[in-house]
Order: sequence, then C-alpha cells, then structure tokens
Amino acid sequence: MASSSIYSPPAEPKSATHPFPISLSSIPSGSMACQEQPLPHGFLLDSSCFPSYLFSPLDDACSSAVVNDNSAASASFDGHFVCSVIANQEASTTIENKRKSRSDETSLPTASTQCKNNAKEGKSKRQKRAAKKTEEKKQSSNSDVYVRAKRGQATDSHSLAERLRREKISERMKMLQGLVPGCDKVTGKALMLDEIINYVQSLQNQVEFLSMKIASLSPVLYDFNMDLMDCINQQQKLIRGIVQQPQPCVEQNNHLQSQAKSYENEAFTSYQLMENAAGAPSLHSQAHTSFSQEVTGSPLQVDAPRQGFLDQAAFLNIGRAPWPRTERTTTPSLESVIETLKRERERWKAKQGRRKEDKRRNSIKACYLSS
Amino acid sequence: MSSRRNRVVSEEEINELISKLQSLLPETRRRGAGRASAAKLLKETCNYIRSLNREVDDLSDRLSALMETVDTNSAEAEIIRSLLRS
Repeated sequence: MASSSIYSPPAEPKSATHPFPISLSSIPSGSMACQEQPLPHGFLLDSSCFPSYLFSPLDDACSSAVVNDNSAASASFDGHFVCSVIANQEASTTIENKRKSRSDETSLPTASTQCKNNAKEGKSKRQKRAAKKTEEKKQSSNSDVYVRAKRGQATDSHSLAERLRREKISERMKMLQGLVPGCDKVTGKALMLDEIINYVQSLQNQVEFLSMKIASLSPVLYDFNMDLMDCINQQQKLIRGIVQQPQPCVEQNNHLQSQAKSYENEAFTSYQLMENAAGAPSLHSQAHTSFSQEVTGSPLQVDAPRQGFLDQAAFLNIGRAPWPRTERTTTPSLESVIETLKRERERWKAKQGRRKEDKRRNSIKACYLSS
Repeated sequence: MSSRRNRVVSEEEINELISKLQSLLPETRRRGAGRASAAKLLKETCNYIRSLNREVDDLSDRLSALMETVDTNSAEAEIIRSLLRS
C-alpha cells in the first residue's frame, strides 16, 4: 500500500486500491519507476503496488530487480518511489536485464533522475549523483514524464546496440588497465592505447632478449663429454689445418669446409631447438660424437650423420616458443654469440629510448591540442 | 566521452592506435585480415599480455637456474656474466 505517511504526491488523491499510476519504462538497475504526475498511460497491473522500502511482493518482472537494488535504492531514495509494473512487462524486463548486465557498476538507479521532477526531497542530491544519467535523459525525445532515455533508446535498436558495444569496449579497457602497469593515471582511450602498445612492445623485447641470453648460456652449460664450443673450435682448427695442407682438389677442400660450416650452423640452430626442449643430454653428447667423427671423414660420410643430426634436431624441437623465431645462421663461435648479444642489447636500449621519446612526443602533442 | 573543449582526440587517432595494436598481436589466422572489432582486439590483447607475462617469468626462471649452474671459473661464463650485468 502506498504509504501516504511518507510519501506525499503532488496532487494525487490517494486511494488504497489505486496508488499512483506509474509506467515502468525501461528501468535501470533498479526497477523503480519514478512517479510523475498521474499520467494517462501508466497503469497498474498489480494493485499491490508498494513503495520500495516496504517491499511487498511485486510482479515477478520487477521484484527480483527491486530486491537486488533495494539496498542501493534505499540509500539514495527516500522511499519516495512506488514501483509498479506496466503493461508492457515483457519489453521492460528484457530492457531491464540488458540494463542490469550493462550497468552493473552504476549502483544508482536512473529512476532517481526521473523522480527529480516530482520528488520533493533529495532532488538536488539525486541530481548530483545522477548527473551523468541526466545527460542521457535529456537526450531522449520524450523527456517529460517517466520517460527515460533508456526507454527512448530501447526502442531505438541502433543506439542500444551502440551503447552495448561501447560498454563492452570500456569494460575490456578497464581489464587492460589492470594488466598494464602505470595505466591508472592515464585517462582517455588514446593515451591508454598508447600505453598498452608500449607495454606489449617492451614485453616482446624482453622475451626476445631473455631467450637470447639463455641461448648464449646453453653452450657453456652443456658440459658433457665435450663442450660444443670446444668441439666447434676443434672443427675450425681442423678445417684450417686441412686448408693449409696441400689438397689434391680445391673443390673437395671447399666442399669439406662448407660442409663443416653448414654443420656448425645446423648445430647452432639445433642448439636452440634443444634449448627449447627440456634438454636431452644423451642426444646432445651423441650429436657431439657425430660431430667430431665426421670432420675428418670424406664429404660423403659427412652427409649421413648430418642427416641423422637433423633428425635428432627435428625430434627435439618440441616447440615451446609460440612466437616466430628468426633463423640464426651465424657461426656459433663464442665471439659471434657475444656480438649478437651486444647487438640485441643495443636494440633493446634503443627501443627503450624510443619509447621515452614517443612518450614525450605524445605529451607534447597533447599539450598542443589542449591549448 | 572526450570533452570537445579540452582535448580533442580524433577518432582517426584511436583507429590508428587500434590498428597498430593489431599489428603487434600475433595473428594466427590469415595475415590480411580486415580489422577485427575493437572489443575482440582488446580481449586478444589481454590474453596476449597475460601469456607474455607468463613467458617472461618462465624465461627468467630458466635463466636464473642456468646462471646458478654455470661454471663460475670458466672464462666464457665470465664474459657472459659481464654482459648480463650491464
């Protein structure tokens, strides 16, 4: 029953059975309909229309919503509102659900803004709290009565979809804001996007750099029967020795040399593949032995273990790196590894410097735009 | 909603940033994909950032484990350590 004691409608003859006609348009998170002056098109479906604070059983459509937001509502409202269900219940419920799903964060029911027109008390309070909603309301065409902008938007499917889309995007932006450090102070989509881009780039660089470091460390650590570096150095010495000796056929010499060099390359790449895997010592040492064996052999013999080596490498490539790896075909001597590391470091620092420069540029641009 | 008076961030800028972000993401599907919706992109970015973080953590753990086992007296290790320090 309408609590006449608490709520005094403007000029409405209260009747026990006929409380205030309210049309429940698209109700926001709270299914509170703001009551205006008695309007022709607001009809009570349910005679048992009660103020929210009394919270009598309402119709199914709005009862749950009212329950959910009763706490919020009662805080902001002073129990001025009477909730009733209108004829187009179905439409309102769907819109209600959309509203609820969308505006979970906004605890303030938009009904407050509507009620500012007729509610005597707390008008300014509600106006302040619902300033944002008020803007939306003003946008709606039918602004006189309980019409909420939501109602206007509800019928306009395009703007509703647009609103949905925007809400989804802003929700995802908030999620990203939590992920990216230093994004809290940034407001606005453009700046946040910029920050996110920088962060992703720096993360990618970090991953690349770390994997480079690990790759460079691995040869040092695999200290089985023979260190691969030592092996490769031996190979190089042997090649040099072979070159110095009088060779019957120059092509054969070159062939052997190129074979050995390509062997080294493969070893290095397969090293990276091995590094990807958990690490298989036995296979590694096997590769070592096959390595050392074939250096002195004829070119024909080099081919066979090389094939076996490749098979091993392919077998070991359990492939854990998701990102595309560039082929490193440098000769795997320690000096070259150090050079590569240095280059990576320079690139990393340059990128960081560029990032700071970008930041500075963006801030300058922002200042310029704001002036 | 960007206020018109203060900072006008044009829609183009935002689109440009979004496409730049898309170029960063690992597109597993066809390369010339038209611009996906912004919401989907943002979600992809979220997942990608999480996976990158995990990757970095994993690599750092491996690196620190490797560093422990490195032979401290070897000359090569010393060189590499000096590189890592700087």
